[in-house]
Amino acid sequence: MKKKTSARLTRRNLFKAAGFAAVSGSALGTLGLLQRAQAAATQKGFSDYRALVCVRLDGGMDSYNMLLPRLTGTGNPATDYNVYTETRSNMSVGYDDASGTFNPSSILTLNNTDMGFSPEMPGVRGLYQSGDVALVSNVGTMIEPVTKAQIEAGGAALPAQLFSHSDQSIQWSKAWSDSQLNRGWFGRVADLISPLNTFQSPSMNVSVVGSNLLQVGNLVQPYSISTDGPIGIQTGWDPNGDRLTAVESIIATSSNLFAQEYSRVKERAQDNYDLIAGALEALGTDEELFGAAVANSFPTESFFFDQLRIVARMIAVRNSLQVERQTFVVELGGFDTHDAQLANLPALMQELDTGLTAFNAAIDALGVHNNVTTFTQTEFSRTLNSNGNGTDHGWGGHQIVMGGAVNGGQIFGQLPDLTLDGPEDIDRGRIIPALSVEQYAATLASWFGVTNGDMDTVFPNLGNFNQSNLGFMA
Amino acid sequence: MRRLLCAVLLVVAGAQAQAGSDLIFSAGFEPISPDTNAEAGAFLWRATFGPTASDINDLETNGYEAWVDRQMSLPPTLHLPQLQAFGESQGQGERQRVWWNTAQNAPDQFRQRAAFALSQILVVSDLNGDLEGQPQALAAYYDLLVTNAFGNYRDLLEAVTLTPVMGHYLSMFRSTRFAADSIEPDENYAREIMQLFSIGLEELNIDGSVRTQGGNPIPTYDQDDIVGLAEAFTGWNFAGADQNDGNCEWWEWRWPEQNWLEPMEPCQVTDPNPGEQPDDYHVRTAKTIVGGVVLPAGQSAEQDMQQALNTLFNHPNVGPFLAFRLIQRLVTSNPSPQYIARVAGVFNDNGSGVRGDLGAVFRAVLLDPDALAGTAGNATFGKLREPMFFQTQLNRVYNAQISPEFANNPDCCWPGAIYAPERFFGQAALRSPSVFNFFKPNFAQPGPIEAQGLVSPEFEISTETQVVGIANFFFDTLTWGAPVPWQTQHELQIGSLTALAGNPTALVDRVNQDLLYGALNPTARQIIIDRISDIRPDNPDQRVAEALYYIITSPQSVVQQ
Repeated sequence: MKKKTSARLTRRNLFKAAGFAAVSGSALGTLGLLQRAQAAATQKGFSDYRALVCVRLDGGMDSYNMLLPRLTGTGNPATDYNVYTETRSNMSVGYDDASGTFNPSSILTLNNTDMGFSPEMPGVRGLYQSGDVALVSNVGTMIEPVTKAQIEAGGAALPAQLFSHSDQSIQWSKAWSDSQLNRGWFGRVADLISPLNTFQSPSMNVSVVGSNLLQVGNLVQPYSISTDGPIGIQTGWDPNGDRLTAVESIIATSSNLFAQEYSRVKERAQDNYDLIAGALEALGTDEELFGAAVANSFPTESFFFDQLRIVARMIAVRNSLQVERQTFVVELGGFDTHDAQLANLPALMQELDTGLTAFNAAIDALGVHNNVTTFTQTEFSRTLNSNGNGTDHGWGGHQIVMGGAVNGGQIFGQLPDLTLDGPEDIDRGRIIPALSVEQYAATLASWFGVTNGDMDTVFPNLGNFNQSNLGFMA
Repeated sequence: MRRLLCAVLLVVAGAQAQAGSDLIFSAGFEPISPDTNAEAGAFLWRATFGPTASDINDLETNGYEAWVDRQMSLPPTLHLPQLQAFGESQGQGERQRVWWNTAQNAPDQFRQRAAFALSQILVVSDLNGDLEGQPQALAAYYDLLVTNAFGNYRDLLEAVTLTPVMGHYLSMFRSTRFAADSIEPDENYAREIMQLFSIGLEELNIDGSVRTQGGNPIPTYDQDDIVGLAEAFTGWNFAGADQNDGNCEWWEWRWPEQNWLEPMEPCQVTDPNPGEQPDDYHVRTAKTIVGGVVLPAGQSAEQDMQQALNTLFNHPNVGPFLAFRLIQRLVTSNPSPQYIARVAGVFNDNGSGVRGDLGAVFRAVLLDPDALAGTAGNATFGKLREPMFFQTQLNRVYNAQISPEFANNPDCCWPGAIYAPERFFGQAALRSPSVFNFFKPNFAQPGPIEAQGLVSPEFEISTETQVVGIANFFFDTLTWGAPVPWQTQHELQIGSLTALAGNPTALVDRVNQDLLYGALNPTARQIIIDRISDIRPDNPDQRVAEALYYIITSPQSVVQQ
C-alpha cells in the first residue's frame, strides 16, 4: 500500500470539511500540480496531447438505418433505396405503416454521395459536411478476409460465436478475434504508450462505464470515474484525518486474496481522487469552462450526456495531470432492437447525435479540436430483414469517427450490397464485413502514436488484411 | 471442524463417483453442525440474507441438514400479494420495497436466497421499456422463481418461457414469420435460452470443464439451430388473445387484450389467408434444433415448445452449467471441478431417478463437503459479497423498521435505496442492465486474481466508484445521526449497542460478533477500538455509528468465505 503523508490528508480534509469546496479544490489541485511541475522537467515522450474516446453502442446498433440509400434507380444495389426497402420491408426508414408505402424524402443528404444519413442525426451529418466526421463502412470481427463462397463451403476461419452479444463485444474490444487473452486493444496500446507519458498515475485508461475489457492491458488497467468525476472516501467532519486514517489502516488488514484486491481498488480510488478531484473542481462550472451555449447543448437527465461531459472535463485537466495520451470509454445502451425498433432506434440515434455534437463543441471550446478523436464501437450491426417489429443480430456495420484530425466528409471502405441473399449476405442480411476491427483500430492507434513497427505486436492479425491503415486519420 | 474434515476424507476416499451430498452423512456420522459461531455464520451467509443470533443458535442446535430440511419445508413467501397490498401505489419502487421486506423478514430465507440466485440466471429487468410499467407482472415473475426454487428446472424453464414478462423481455411474444415481407421469426429468445438459461455456448464435461476438439472448444449449437428454435417459438400471444372460436384473426393477433399475469397462449389460425397475414402465426415446417433434434412438420406451437424445452432440459450441459452458476451465487466463485461434478450429478439424478430437482441441487450446493470445509480446504475459497447483502444483513441483525417518517408518506421516499437500490448498490431485484446480469460468471478481475486463474464475478461491478461509493453510502446512512435513514428508509434498532457505547472494546466486540461472528482482523479490531475511544463518550450515537461503519466495510466483511 502506498503510504500517504498525514500532512496531505490533513490539508485535504481541513479544506473539505471547512466547506471551502471550490477553494479546497484549487488548493488540492495546486498541491498536485506542484509535485507534477517539479517532475515534469524530466523528458516527455510526447510534445502534444491526444485522446481516443470510444463511444460504445451497446446491444448491436442497426447502422444500416443510419447510413442509407436515398436515391432510386441508381443501378447499384449498395446505394439504391428500392433495393433497401425490398430487403428491409417494415424496418425501412421512410416506411409508412398506415399506407404501406416507402418515401426516402426525410433522409438527409451527404455531400458527393448517393448515400444519405438518418433524419435523427442532423448534427453528426453537419459535422460530416464540415469535415469533422468520417464514416467507415461495414466493419466487423474477422480473423482473415472471407467470402460468402468460402463460408458456404465450410472451413473458413471465422470468429467464434458470431452473433452472440457477449462474444462479439469481447472480440471488438480485443481487435484480435481469436485471442484467448483477456486484453483489449486500448489496454495493449496503453502498455506501450503509458511509459512515454510524463506520469503513469492516474491510469491513462479512464472508464466512465465501469469494468470494460477494451482498456485492460498487461500493465495498464482502467480507472473508473463516475459522471461526477472521481469519488473519494467520505469521512465527514474529519479535521485531523482521524477517520480516514482509520479507514485506510483497516483496509490494509486484508489477508484474503479477494479482500486484498477489493482494498487495492479502494486505495487506488482514493489516490486518484487526491490527484484529480481538486483540479476538476477548479475548472468551475460547465458554463465557465465551455461557455454557456456549449454547456447548455448537453441536455440534462441523460447518462450518456453526463458521461461525455465528464470526459470533456477530464480532458480539460490534462495539463495538471500530464498524462499526454489518454483513452476514455463511454456507452449508450439499448441498441438490441429485436422489438419496437421503429420507435426505439430513432430515439437512440437522436440521443447519440445530440451527445456527439455537444461533445464536439465542448472539445472545440477547450481548444483541443485536433487532439481528441471520438469513434463508435458496437458488437455487430443487425439483420437487414425484419423479425416483425425489430431486427436480430447481424455482423458487419458502419462506424462514425469524429474529430479535427479526422479526414472527414468521406465514407471509407466498400458499401455492402443490400440485396437479401446478395453476395455479402450470409443469411437474413447478416453482412460479411469488408473491413476488420483490426484495420479500424490500427488506423486510430497509428494516429495515437503507435509506430508501424509496433502494429503487428498490438494487432497480431493485422497482417491478414491488405490495408493496415484505412486513411481516415490525418 | 475436526469431524467435518474426517467426513471429507471419507468421501474423497470412498464415494467419489456417486452423486449426492447426502453421502457425507451416510457412514454413521452424527449430523454435522458448526463448532463455532464463525462456522455457522459462514454457512448462513450463503443460505440467508444475513443471519441473526437466533438463526445461528438454531443452526448450532440442529445441525446443517436439519436446518436445510426445515427451511425447505417452509411455505413460500410470495411477493405479488405484498405488492398488491400497497393498493393504488404499486410501482417498481414498491416492488423493490417488497423485496427488501421479504429479504429481511421472510421465514423461508433459503428459498428467497435461492430465488434471488435464479433471478440472476433467468434474467428479466424492469429497465426494459415494455416492462417498466408492469410491476405486478414482475412480482409475479419473481414469485415463479420463489415457488419453483425447490421444484423442477424443467417446470421452471417452461413457466419462465411462457410468462409474458419473458415474452416481452426477450421478444418471443408474438414472434412469427411473414414470408411475403421477408419477415423472419425473432431469434432473441431462441439464442438466450440456450446461451444463458440452459446449455451455454460450449459443450461441458460434468465437472464444468470445456470439451475440446483439436484444442478448440466445441460449440453447443450454431446459427442454424438458433433459427430452428426461433421457428419453434413462434405463434405465442397474450392468454385469451384468441377471443372465441379457436381461429386467431389478424386483429386478435395484433391488438390482443393485455394479460400480464397469465402464461402466454398460442394464437392459432384455422382459416389461412395467404398474402394477407401469415398462413399461420406458428411456423409449421419441420425444424432442426440443437443436437440435430428434428421437430416434425405440422406440430402445434405447444408441441414444438414442449419438444424444444425437453431437448434443452435433457442436454448434458444443463447440470454443470447450472451447478457452476448456483454455486457461484451462493458459496464460492471458484468451485473445484469435483464440487461442480457432485452438484451436476444431483441435477442429473436426485437419487430417486429424477432429473432437474432444484431442491436437491440447492441442498447439494450448501451441504457439499467443499462448502462445509470452506477455506480449510482451499485458501481462495469464497467470494465477494453481493453489494445488497451488506444492507440486508444490517436489516436482519438489527431488525430494521421502515422509519415512520417515511412509511406513511409515499411521496417522500424516492430515491432511497429501498426504492432504487441500484443507485447505491449497483444491483436490484429484476433490474439488471441487460440479460447478462449485473456481472458475468467468468469475469476475472485483472491483476492477482486473474493471474491465479481465478474468476470473480462480483468484481465486475466493484470499480473504484462502486467500492468507494458503497463505503460512503454506509458512512452517510450510519453516521449522520444514529442513523438517519434518508437513503435507506430503514431504521436500525441499535439500542443494545448504544448501551455499550461507554466501553469501546465491548462495543466493537459486540458488533464484531453481530456482523462477523468474531472474524474481524485483530489489528483492525484494535484500530477501531482506538478510534472509537477517541470519540467523546458523551456522543454514544457517534461511537455506535462508526463502529458499525468500520466493521461493515472492513475487509473481513466484504468477502464471504
